[in-house]
Amino acid sequence: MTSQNIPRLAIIGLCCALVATVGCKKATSPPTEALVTFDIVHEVDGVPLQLDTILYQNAAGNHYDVTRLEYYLSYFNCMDNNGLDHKVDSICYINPRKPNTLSFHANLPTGSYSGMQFHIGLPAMKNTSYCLSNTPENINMAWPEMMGGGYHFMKFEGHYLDPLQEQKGFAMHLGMNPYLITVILNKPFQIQEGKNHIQLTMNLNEWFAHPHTYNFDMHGNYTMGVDSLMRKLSENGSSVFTLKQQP
Amino acid sequence: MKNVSIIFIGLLVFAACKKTPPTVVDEPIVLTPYEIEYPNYVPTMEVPQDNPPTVEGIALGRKLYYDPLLSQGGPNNGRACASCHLQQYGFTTPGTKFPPVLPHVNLGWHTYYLWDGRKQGALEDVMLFEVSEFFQADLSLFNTDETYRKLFKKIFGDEHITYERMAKMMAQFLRTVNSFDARFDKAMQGDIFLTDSELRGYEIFNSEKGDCFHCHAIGLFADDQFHNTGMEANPSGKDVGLYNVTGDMHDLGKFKTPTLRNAALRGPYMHDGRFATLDEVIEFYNSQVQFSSTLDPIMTKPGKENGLNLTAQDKADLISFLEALTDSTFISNPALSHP
Repeated sequence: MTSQNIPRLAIIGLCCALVATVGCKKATSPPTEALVTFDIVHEVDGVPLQLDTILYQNAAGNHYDVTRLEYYLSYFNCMDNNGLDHKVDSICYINPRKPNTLSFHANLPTGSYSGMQFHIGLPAMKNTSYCLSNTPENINMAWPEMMGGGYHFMKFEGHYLDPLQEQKGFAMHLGMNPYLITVILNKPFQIQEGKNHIQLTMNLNEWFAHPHTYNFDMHGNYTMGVDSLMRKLSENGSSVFTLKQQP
Repeated sequence: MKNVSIIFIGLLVFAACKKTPPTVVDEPIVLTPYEIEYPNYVPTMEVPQDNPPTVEGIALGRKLYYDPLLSQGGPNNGRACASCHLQQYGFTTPGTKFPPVLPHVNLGWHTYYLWDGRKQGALEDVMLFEVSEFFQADLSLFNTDETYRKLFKKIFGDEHITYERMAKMMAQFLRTVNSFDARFDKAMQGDIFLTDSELRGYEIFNSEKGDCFHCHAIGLFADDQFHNTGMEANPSGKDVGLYNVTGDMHDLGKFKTPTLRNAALRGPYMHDGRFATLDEVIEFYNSQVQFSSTLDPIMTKPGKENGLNLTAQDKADLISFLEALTDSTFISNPALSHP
C-alpha cells in the first residue's frame, strides 16, 4: 500500500460508511395484527340480565322486566395511542335470546389503544329498506316505509308496575336517522399477539337514566314514532355501554 | 421337445390371460338442481346442505304429499297430507276448529310448526314426524311398490325406502309451496297499483295505527315467533299455547304468528277458530284485547290498551289489504297440484 493510496482508500471507506448509514434504511416490519373478540354482555346495574321476570327498578322507580331486546351495533372505530383510527365496518345484530349474536370478531394491529367508538343503530347509508342481508332477524327489524323506512335500531320491550302496582307493558322502539346513537368509550386497552377479548357491557338501566330520567308513567311506555321520546332514548343511549378488557 | 415347450408356453399364456368378469358399474346418480325463486323482500331461505332441491326430489315429494298410501293401515287410514291441506284454500281446510289447520305455505322459512310450536327444527324434522308418527306410514307398502322403489333408487342410488328419505323428499316439495304472487306482490314488483282502499289498509297495517307489522312482518306476513295477543285474561286449557311445550309460565297464552297470506281464503281464525271472519278478527284487535301477565307489550300502546280504535272505514280498508294477500296463482298452480 503506497502513501498515495491511503487517502483514496480512506475516501472510499468513508463513502462506504456513508452509504451504509444513509442508504441502508432500517426496514420497517408491517404491524402485526391479532384476532380480537368483542363479547356483548347485558346487565342491569351490575346484575346479569334475566329475561321475563320483574326484577329491576330504574332511576324513575319503575319496577320492570325485559321480554325482548334486539338492536344493532355498527361501524366500530378503535383509536390507537398514535392517533390512528382502525375501523371495523361491521353491522352486528344483537339479541340476548340468541347466544350466537353476542360476539363478533375483528383483526386489529397489536399495540395500545385509547378507546373505541361505535353506533347503536345503523348510519344513514345503511338505514334504508332492504339494505341489510335478508335474514329473518333483519326482516323482522324493518321500520315501516311510511314512517321513514330502514330498520329499528332497537326493540326493548317488557312489563312494568304502575303506581297502582298493576302490570303494564312498555315498548322502547328506536329508529330513524336523527336518533342514531354514537357511543364513545375512552377506555384504554391493549391488543397483543394471539387472542384478545374485549367485553362491551350494556347496562339496561342506563337507557332510563342519563341525561334523562325516563319514567314510563310520566313520559310514555311506547316510543316508536314519538320524536320527543326517541330523542330521550337516543341521548340516554350514549352512556349505556362500558368497555372492559378481558384477561 | 421344442413343440412341447411351445405348447407349454402357450398354455401358460392362456392361463395368464384369464378372462376377468366385467366390473359392474352402478349408474351414477344424476339429478337436476332446482332453484327456488322468491322475492327480495323476504328472508333468504335456509336449505340443508344434505337435501338440496332437485327436480326429481320435488316430484317425488309431491307424489308422496298426495298419496293416501302414507296412511294405509294407520290411525289416519285413507288420508294424505293433501286431504287436510287443500290447495284451493291455500293448503288448509276451512271450517276446522280446535285447532284450525295451519296452511302449508312458505314453510321453508319456518323453524316452529303448529300453533303451540310443539314441532321445531327444519322441514325434514317435521316431515319425519308426519310420516313416522302422524301417518305411521307402513314402509313395507312403499318398499314393495315398484314405482316408488324406482323413484327412490333414482335419487338415492338404491331402492331402500326409509322414513328419513321420505321426509327429505316431502321437505323438498314443501319448500316449493310458496305464495308470492298476490296483488300485494304484484304491486311490490311494480306490475300493478293497489286500490285506494288496499293502500290505506296497507298503511294501517304497516304503521302505528294498526301495528300489524310487528308480528306479521312484511314479506312472509309472519315472524316465526310467539305472542300473547290478549285473547284470554287467564289463559288455561286450550289457550295456554307455547306453555304446553316449554312449561314456562312466561309463555302462557302465546301462539305462533300465522301467516296472513291467503287468509281471506280460510277461516275460522285464531288458535281455536273462535272468529269466523276477518271482520271479527279485526274487531277483536280493535276493541276486545284482554290484559294478562304475558300480554305482548306491543299490545299495550297508550290509548290502545283495549284495542286499536279503528273507524269502520279503517277496518274496511284493512280487510281490503288482507284480501290483497290472496294469491290466485298459488291456489291453482299445477306444479303444486295432485300429480
